[in-house]
Amino acid sequence: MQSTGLKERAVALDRKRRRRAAVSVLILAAALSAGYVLCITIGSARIPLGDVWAALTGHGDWATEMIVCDMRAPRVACAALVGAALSLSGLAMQALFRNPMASPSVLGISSGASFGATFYIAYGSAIIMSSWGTILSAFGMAMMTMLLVYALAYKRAGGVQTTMLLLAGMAVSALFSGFTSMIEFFSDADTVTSIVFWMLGSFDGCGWSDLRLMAGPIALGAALIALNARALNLMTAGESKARALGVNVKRVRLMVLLGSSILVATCVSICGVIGFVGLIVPHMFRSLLGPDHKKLVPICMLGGAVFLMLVDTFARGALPPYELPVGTVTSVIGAPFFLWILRSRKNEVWRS
Amino acid sequence: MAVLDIDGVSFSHGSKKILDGLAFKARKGEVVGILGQNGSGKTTLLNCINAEYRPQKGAVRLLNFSEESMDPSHRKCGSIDVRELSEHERSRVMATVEQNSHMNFPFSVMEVVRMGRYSRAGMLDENTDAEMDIVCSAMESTGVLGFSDRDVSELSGGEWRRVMIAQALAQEPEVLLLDEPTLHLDINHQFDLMDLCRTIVSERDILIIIVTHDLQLAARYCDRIIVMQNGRIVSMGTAEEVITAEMIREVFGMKARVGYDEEIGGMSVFLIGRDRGGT
Repeated sequence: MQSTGLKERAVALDRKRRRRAAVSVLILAAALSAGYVLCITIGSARIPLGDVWAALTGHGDWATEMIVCDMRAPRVACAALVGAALSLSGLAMQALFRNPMASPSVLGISSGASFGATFYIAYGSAIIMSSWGTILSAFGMAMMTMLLVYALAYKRAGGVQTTMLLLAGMAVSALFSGFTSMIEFFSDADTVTSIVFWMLGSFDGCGWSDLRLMAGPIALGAALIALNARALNLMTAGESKARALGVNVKRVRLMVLLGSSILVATCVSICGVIGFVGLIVPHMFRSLLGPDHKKLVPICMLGGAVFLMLVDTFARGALPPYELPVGTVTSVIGAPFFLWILRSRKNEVWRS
Repeated sequence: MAVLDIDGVSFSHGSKKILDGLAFKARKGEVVGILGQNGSGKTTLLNCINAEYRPQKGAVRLLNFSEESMDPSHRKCGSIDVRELSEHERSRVMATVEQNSHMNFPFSVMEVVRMGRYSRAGMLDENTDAEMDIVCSAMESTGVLGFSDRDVSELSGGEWRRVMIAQALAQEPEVLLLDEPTLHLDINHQFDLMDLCRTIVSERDILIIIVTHDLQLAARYCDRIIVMQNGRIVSMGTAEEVITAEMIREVFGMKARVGYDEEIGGMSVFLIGRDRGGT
């Protein structure tokens, strides 16, 4: 008799976890749509909510409609999309590396991707000028960097040691920053200015065409990761354990590495390096809702979208008339956050 | 009859020979105990059985195992090397509870046990009543149902061990490999676990292979015992045949009194002390 009671309680508690995740999805979706409209009102010229709504629905005056529909709406949407992509890639890397400190910027993947993109901007674009070229070049380098860090830091038993991971990430990051600087050194002044500004990470000037360009690769990368959400849970128990539980480890690893490289490369090619999003967002939601990746995949995408949209709006509106590059703001928030996780989660982080 | 065939398995790590031409057969419906001191190759043997390691010589084969676990191309194979199975097939046939394992992320107990259902249930029917029943009864049988919602990173060693065993049961395997399952467990849980092994073997007709250095438990609960030393089998048979004062002295270097105990209804081992040769 007592055991049936225990069972009901166990099932109810599990259901509660799922309900909490579902409610979070709803809240975040609402926050995303409300935040989207609100973020459009803010900028160098403040536009009242009513006017934004009128412009979005096609009843506003010509000037407002141009600012809202052609400049702010696509820019805020870009920030949201990139936020979703970066958080998801961070989440996937943390599962794969079995380490809560992994993220595209910490591992140097972003540096690798930006080297790929810079290389293409400086030399490749003379041959074929195409945004796809930048993305592909960034993707190639992101994938290579990821494999390099993985090979350096992974040990068969126990996953990835945090020390090894951070050091490998630091070294790889320095290496590719060096390469990027070399390209800058040999480029003319105009190219340098554009590279430097792009590297700071910004959504300045992002339009609908950028959004259209990003949508495809980001959907592909996200699908590659989402399809393996359940397998990622098992991967956090270690590769041999995952294998014993029936996971085709090679296939999952390849799909997830590919997926996160595509995500990072796409984001970096369009808007430069925006660090720490992939670290902060997954960490926040994992603490709130537990580590089940079936729940975390949609939640981190929505949460990341809301997060970067708000941070970008802050960057645009905090110090008028200047617009800060969003990458500098995420770094200023992210680096202390990174240190705080290292301190507060000491056991978890250093145990492996 | 479904048989696990360990056929002349040798395994070396670098130049060090760990398993040396090991051969025995075990069939479904029995509990086989593997005894031996540290470094005798017990865990390596388990890793060869579950195909984590590739033996340099010999092979581990499944003879006449049930076909529904296999992919179509492997059906109707009377004998199949475990290394030829895909991860998916293998996880449906056998489950392993390792000696050391840990989670870096704070999953709940139930989420960890449910991982055992990965190759049985699809992503969408993971939360059906039937699935919940299987997961809950696995948790109940190892006594972890009461704390199903706890964060696994906060569990004690013994509690964690029981969660891992529940996960293996949730796989519904035909071969269950347990590496030192009683380590870290309280005495009452040690006996509960061994009782559970006997119950599962008789109810589900599976094969359980237990690696242990607990002579007492092996003697009481295993149908057959294999004693290993330096990567070879030195003795094999029923508890009465294998567990003798002489074997314990030779293999473990201990003086012991062994006899049939009326109250237990089986063998009892009483360790007297270190055998210092002569005294």
